[in-house]
Amino acid sequence: MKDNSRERFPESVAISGRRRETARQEFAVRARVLGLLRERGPLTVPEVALALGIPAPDALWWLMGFVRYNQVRASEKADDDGYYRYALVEVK
Amino acid sequence: MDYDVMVIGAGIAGMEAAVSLGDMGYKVLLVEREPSIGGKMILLSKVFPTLDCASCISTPKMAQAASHANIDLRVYSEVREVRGDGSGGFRAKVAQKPAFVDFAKCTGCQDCEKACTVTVPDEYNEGLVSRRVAHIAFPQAVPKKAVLDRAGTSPCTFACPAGIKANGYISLIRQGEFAKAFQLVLEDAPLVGSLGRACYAYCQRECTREEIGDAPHIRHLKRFVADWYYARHAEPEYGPPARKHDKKVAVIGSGPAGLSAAYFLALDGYPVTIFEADAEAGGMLRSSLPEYRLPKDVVDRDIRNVTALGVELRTATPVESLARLRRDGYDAVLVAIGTPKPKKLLVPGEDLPGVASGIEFLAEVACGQKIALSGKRVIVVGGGNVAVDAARTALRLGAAKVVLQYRRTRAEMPAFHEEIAAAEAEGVELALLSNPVAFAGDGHRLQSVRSVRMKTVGADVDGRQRTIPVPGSEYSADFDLAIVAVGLSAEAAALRQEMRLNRDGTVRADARTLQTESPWLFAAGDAVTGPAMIVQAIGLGKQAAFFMGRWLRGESLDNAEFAPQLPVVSHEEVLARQKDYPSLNVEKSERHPAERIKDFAEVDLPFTEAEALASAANCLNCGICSECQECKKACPADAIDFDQREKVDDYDVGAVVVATGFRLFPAERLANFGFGRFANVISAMQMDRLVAPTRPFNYVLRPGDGRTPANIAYVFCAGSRDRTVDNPICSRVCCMYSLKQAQLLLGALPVADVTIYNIDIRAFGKGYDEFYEQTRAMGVRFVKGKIARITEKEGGNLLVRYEDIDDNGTVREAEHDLVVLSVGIVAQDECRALFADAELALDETLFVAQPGKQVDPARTSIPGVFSAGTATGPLDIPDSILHAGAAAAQTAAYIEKMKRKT
Repeated sequence: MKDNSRERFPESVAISGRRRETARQEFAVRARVLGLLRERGPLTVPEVALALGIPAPDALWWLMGFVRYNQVRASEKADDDGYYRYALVEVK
Repeated sequence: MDYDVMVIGAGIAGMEAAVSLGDMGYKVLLVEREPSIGGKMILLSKVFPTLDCASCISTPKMAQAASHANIDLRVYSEVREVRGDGSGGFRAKVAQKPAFVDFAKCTGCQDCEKACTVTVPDEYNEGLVSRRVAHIAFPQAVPKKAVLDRAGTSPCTFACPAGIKANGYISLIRQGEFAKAFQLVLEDAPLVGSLGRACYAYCQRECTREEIGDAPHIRHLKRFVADWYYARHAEPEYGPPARKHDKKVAVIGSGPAGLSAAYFLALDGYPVTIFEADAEAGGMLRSSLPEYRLPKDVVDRDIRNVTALGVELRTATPVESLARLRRDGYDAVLVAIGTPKPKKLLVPGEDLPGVASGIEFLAEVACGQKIALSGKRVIVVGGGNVAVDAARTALRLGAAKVVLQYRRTRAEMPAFHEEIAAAEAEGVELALLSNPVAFAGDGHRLQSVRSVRMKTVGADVDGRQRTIPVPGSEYSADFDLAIVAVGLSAEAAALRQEMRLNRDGTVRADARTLQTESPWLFAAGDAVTGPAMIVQAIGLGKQAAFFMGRWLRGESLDNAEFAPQLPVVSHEEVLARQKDYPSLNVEKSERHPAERIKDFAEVDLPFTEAEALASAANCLNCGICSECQECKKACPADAIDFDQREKVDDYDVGAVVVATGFRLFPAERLANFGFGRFANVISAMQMDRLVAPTRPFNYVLRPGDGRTPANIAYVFCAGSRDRTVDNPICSRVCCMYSLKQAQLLLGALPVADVTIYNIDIRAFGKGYDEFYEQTRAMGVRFVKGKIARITEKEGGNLLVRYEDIDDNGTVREAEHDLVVLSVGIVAQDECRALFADAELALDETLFVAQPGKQVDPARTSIPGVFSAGTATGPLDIPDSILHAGAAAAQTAAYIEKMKRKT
């Protein structure tokens, strides 16, 4: 066994690895996502993913980033399939 | 003694130990490496078995630790070294990491965070969502102060002699903020349009992405924002700034260096007059760069960025006496006269009609003189940019044949290789390893050029191949025009009596301050360096303005640092951050060579908006922070400080408490469980964030597609009690935190099914077994079974394959839409390296060893050093606090014992 913890248990991919790439692309994809919501109104994660041809996990990740910074808001309730809808927050 | 005790780590144990010791009257230095205290507990949803809100319990303790009269808190700080002082105490080095935010000014408003243009995974939300590079750690952070993540200076920005923040403006372009991108370039260089076309782009050469392909076209992006902005703003949006100074400055020369210096001096509030000998301003930008590379209307618009500040431009006004300028009331003078004088070959016939200098030829074309070369044969001698420009210009004037003659190999040609390739594509012939020895004519005009072939004979002192003539290889060829472009030199002869020149005719000035022997006289640009790139001249103009401003204000130039930068980030560091960097392929477009030689219209076609966005999207954010300056502009408290640097302080402390906590087992090491590969396999800490009030999602959703999970599985002992992953110990808390989460999930998702796959349940603390029974009674299903493998089905659901122990080990599969791995705890053993002259012993699992665990629970292998909380091994929160209390008591006893000794 390695005699130090960082070598024995390297940093988790939860905050490195592929997530770094998803984060890197967030601003590049923002205009497309917000544009889609502006055009089509509130959408679920799979609908956004399908419309833009992007993986659903990435679509969720980016939408949550936009929700965090108040550019997108989620519906109060999920639909019958368990999906929330995400709408553009219009800046006044 | 500065402090009675230093506590390392401000999680719940460190805070408890510090507060207890502070309450006893001891002076405590509490050091935390994160920007906030609170450790992992503050990030939890609730605590077991009481289901109290973790924040509600933590935040009073955090506030107490932060505001305690006897505790000095150092957040975002790291202990670098601890040494014994020989009398039972210690000397500690504590580094304050640069947050690039003045904590005294920061109000925690988060305006910087909202303005930030770079996103990274949020470690405080276990990577479930992004955060900005400028950020406050989490909503309950104490202190609530912003920090900026900066790995260093991005290679592109670091390479720019003018300090233009390429990473920054690309980051703004990526956001669609084209005007802001233009403004960011303008802050460092006034000639945005010219640089966007004619800069030789050191930034591009240093771009990390050049190593892996699809690098952003950095210079072309700069051109895009200049074009975009100029199309909407025919004139600058600003006027002269408020005049702050009465002292006047004269700038001699209106090339890139002079314009740049004038711009920054005027911005600084100085009245500036530029004296230009030519009829129009711009220097080489106007006179030697052909229109197809740099349209003159772009130069004009760039110059208006300078004159809009109130800079007076006197063209056709050569300066013949510096003393006269002084008498006319100028307090400081900048010489930025460039290198307009062409060098000669010094071969026979060079003064024949039909033999011209490259720079004069280009200047005549630029000022509109009609030069008809239709059907003519032209030879251009030289391998630099002026030579290539002259050759391509001759083609556009109708020359039937253009030969570019250079005495070395193509690899040694000083011209930008993209330009050489473009010249070849347009039909310029290269005559390499060839040198003219005489120009022959009939006395009235050139008729032929006699040349000799050259051969390489090894490298020169500067690494270039040295060449010598090949004996007997002379040959003649007929030409109508020969253009000699073999270098330029300064022409400061008129001012020679008033300033010292170097042997090559350049102005002698201090390399750092650009001040000459006369304190009021400065020099910048090619006049100092000899012929160089536009961006270098702009950088030197800016540098001269900085030091001239200081001199004019009576400030010392000694030790004044111009444009400090963080060290450059290496390509290796950037490429190691990710396995791969997907990209978009974006090619620049240009006119077809056959078409473009017919006129002087621009060769490079501009990016469309979509192309600019795509090219910018390829940037790797090498510095992490792009230095776009948006945070600085947004901060109402002026708290952002890019010049902040690490500061190390020494402290004498009486004792040390190690409360450095633990890390979570990296779940991807369990290869069969798919963490990191299957979006709907998450860690329990991620689930804790999902059920926390400050959750990263709007609700409890599965990360794969945002659906509310209805059938959730927990896998116990994921990365603990498992020798195959080097973590044989029981982590003590996984059973209970998972039961807590199960209860919370049933509260949030009343119709959900929760299944817990376990080997056994360890519920040994006060009220724990009751909590387990309560969870069972709520309908959580417990399956005694070891998980073999998790596979992902189409649609993101997961098949859990397990051995059902209660059914004689039958192998079964069950489908779930979300799987939570109850990951174990592992040691945070960096504390071992802090002690320079004694060994802090660890146990076999790398936690801090407790040599007297039964009766002396906080004692470590080093007298005077105590451990608290999970630094010693897995503990739940109540036990961690109890242990911290014991550590405080033992530390106090030690301090008293030492006091009595002295």
